[in-house]
Amino acid sequence: MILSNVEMQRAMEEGRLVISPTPEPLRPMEGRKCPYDTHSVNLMLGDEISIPEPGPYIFDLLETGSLSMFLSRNSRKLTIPPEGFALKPSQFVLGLTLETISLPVNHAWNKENNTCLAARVEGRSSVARCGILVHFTAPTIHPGFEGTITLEIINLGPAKFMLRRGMPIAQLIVEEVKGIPFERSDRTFVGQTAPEGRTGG
Amino acid sequence: MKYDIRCQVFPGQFSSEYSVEGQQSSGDLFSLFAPVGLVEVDGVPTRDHPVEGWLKVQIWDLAGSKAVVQLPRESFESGRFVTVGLNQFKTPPQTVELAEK
Repeated sequence: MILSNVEMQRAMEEGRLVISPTPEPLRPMEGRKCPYDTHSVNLMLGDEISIPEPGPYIFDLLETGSLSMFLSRNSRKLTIPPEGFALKPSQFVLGLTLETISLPVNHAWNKENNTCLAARVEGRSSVARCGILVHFTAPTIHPGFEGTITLEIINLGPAKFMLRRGMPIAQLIVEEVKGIPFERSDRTFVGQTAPEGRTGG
Repeated sequence: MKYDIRCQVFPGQFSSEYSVEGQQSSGDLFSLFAPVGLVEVDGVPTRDHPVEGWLKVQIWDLAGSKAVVQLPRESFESGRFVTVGLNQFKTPPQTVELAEK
């Protein structure tokens, strides 16, 4: 079940959904753009993008080890300048959301109600109309996730598209998951530490 | 996050992450992008000079000299769970289980 904006904000109040910084204002108000639609909230583009460098290499996901290193070595980081970054037609870059998303599984409310939250990142129609995809294969944000969301941005349009820091570029849709997934072992071990402290050993 | 396992650390695609490579008990490597806060590094990695580091993981199970651990992000090669030798741990967990929750 998809959460409405009201239910999304309730989940944020209860700590079942954490979006940091909190998208504001929470309600439409004069002179400020409300980031909430009926069942989604806009996410902004962060400061940094990663630009893959062309080369003679071939991505082979069946080749074991070092794939993350390989991707890193063949891309360069760029802090988006104040004037923006012009994404050329057919150009592909990675971006990050400005917001950090957290979907804690072990929240007391979740346990009581045998549920938890997952989310999806989707594009925005205004951005899509310019030919821009902000994700094209990996929209799922799993329960238990904590971090910024990586955006796979590609310009399918005929003209350059300006990427600017803090621009609303994607939207987050939050869903309720039936049941609690196996996120962590239900066993404890000698010497194991938990956020609240050492459990023994 | 509970334990640290040995890894090689390279720069990530973003400043907020590292590219991390570890070894499974089978000898196969696994790699992932991990938030910088979940990796302890001995120095500053560069493209050509990785550094040794420790990746925070959660133990899923222990058996003999191996442990199934949950990685903080999905690895390219083996998903979220990999089996590593106890010799990969900074502080090897004991194989004696304390209690069932």
